[in-house]
Amino acid sequence: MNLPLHILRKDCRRLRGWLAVWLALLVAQAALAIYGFTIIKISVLGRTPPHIRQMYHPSLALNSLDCLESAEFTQAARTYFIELDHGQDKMSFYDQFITYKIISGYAMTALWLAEIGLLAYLVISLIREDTPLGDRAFWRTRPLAGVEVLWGKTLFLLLVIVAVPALFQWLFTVFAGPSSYESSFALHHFITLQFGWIALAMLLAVLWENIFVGFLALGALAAFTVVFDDLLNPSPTDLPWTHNPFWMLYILGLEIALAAALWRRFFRRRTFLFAGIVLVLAWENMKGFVAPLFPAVQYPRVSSSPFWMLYLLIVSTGLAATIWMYLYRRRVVALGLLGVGVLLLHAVTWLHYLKVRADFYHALDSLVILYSTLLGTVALLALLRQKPVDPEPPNTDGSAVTS
Amino acid sequence: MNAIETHGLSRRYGRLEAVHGLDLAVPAGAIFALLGPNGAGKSTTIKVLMNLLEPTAGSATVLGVDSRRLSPRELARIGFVADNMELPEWMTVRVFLDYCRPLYPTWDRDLESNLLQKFELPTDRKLKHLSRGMRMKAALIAALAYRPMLLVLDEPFSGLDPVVRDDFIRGVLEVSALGDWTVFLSSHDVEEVERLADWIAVLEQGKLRFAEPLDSLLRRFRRIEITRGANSVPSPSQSQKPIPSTWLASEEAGTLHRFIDSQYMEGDAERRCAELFPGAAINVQPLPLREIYLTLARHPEAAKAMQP
Repeated sequence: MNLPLHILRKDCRRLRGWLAVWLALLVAQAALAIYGFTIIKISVLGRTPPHIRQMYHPSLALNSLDCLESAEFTQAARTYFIELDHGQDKMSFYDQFITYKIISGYAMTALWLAEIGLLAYLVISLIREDTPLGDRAFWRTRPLAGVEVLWGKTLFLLLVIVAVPALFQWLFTVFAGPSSYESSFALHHFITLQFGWIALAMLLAVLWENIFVGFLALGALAAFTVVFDDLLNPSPTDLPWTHNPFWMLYILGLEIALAAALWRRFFRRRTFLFAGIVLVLAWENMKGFVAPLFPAVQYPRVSSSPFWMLYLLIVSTGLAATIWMYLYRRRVVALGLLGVGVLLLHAVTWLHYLKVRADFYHALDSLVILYSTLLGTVALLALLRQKPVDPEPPNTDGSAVTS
Repeated sequence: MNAIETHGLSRRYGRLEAVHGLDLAVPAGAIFALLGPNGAGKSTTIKVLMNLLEPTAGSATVLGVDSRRLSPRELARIGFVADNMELPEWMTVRVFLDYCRPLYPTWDRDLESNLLQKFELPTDRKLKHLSRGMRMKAALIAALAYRPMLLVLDEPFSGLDPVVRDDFIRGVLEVSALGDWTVFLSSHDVEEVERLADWIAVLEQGKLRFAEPLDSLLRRFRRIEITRGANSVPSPSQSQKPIPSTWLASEEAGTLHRFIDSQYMEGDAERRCAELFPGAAINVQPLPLREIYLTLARHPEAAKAMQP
């Protein structure tokens, strides 16, 4: 266990500056949310409304829940405040509430995007620090087993990238005072999302030395699914014109051109560039506009199920590919896993969208879950099979100093 | 016992065969230099030996272990420095050594201090702020301080100025003299290799030309100059007697004729010269490794492969 801890200490030292910035972003998000609560609490003369957890995001994660964005909720809040004030429409407070909600919504979104971008940067830097790719990495010629490096990285991800913000999350929910069910749900939701982002960043970092190439490859896979879709199933006429596959390809091409231009400009800062790309994807995903890596959300009718499929695939493929690369360094296998996963996902999305042959859709749905479970199991078994080899015992003649 | 052995080792990059059927044996305790021009396959060979690349065919053993199965146990006994190795450049020299130290149970802090003093490295400077030579010195300290049984150096002199090269070579020589270490290095810098190595192997286009102890090589190559008296002796081109095939790079200028004997044996060469050019003055001079290397590059038939 000493060597993984040694690697963890080294990585913390390496990334401490960016970690500080990332933590500051988390604090800023929490502060913004807490400030929002305070405004509401003061405005209702010290009384805590029973539905306050719905009026302002009771957690960083719940910020993205649809109910907070819907017109129905806003109307419900308005009605609630009227009731609260004995039937009088207290518009001044209502206006204040809505104004704050809009402004803080933008601020929160900006902070969240910055946080996710930095998260991607941190994860990619972490992997690149001791990369399993190529033949020049320092650790490869040192007495370090891949499994030890992997444990070191895992410790960093769990203790720093997951546990620290989760602690923030918990403190925040304690302050906000929702029920324990709400708190645990928020925490669970947050950790789940965090794993998704981490797995996506890891997937790109362990499979491609050049992140830009990785992005292009993933983009090409997504583009393939779009073209494939268009060939077999012309877009329904009731979809907005921006959802035309050719338009999406055009936007994708623009993104690639932009990324290429940035790449030439900031060649050395590849991880920053990638963080920016993740940012763009996240933004597009939120807007439901074009998300090359998220074919499931290009169609407004698609329910959350393909999201879940996508999450499963990203997490399972990301973890399996990372474990595979550190233990066996077989990129072909890892890429194959990714390819199969994307094709399966595409099939599920396509059938889900068409809403036909439900039995077949459910069979494919199950197939994706089984596939992800299988990947996770194989990766876990591969990990368990690896036994770190103890370095040579210290010299017995006393000539060497053991640290 | 050999520290490194390869048997029919080949490595392909797509259609390009970087190393082809390499049979090599590096005796334990030797300072073995793998010479060759850029693109000869030296670095690829070393990467295969260090398990950074897998061989396409054949096999290699390092310290008695198949290179594909090198584990931390073996790597703890191997020091590796390569000119294109990715060092953690954000670290200061001190932090870098602090990071490496716990990886090696046999790390010798006294030796580390001695080497730091000898190489005059500023321990508080980040590796990325050091010159290339200084970075190589830092990497060398991190590869020597645990007294490895085998030190592998891939193009260690590449891009270093003469002073740093000298420091580097002195460091390796002094430290390797402390124990029965094997040093395996690749280089295209013949002069530096001559100062350092006691075995020489030449690799060209992925194929081994020869492998031979340096002293044997220096012993069997001689430059021979023959000065004929005024028109008393026919020049080699006019002579009817056959010139030995081991006499290479023959040149004539007036009464002076010179060539390189690739199988020089003291007394024997002089006798042959006297027979061919009676009355001529014969001057025999040793050849530096650089000229031997160039001669072999131009006359590959003169290479006599030897294995320990």
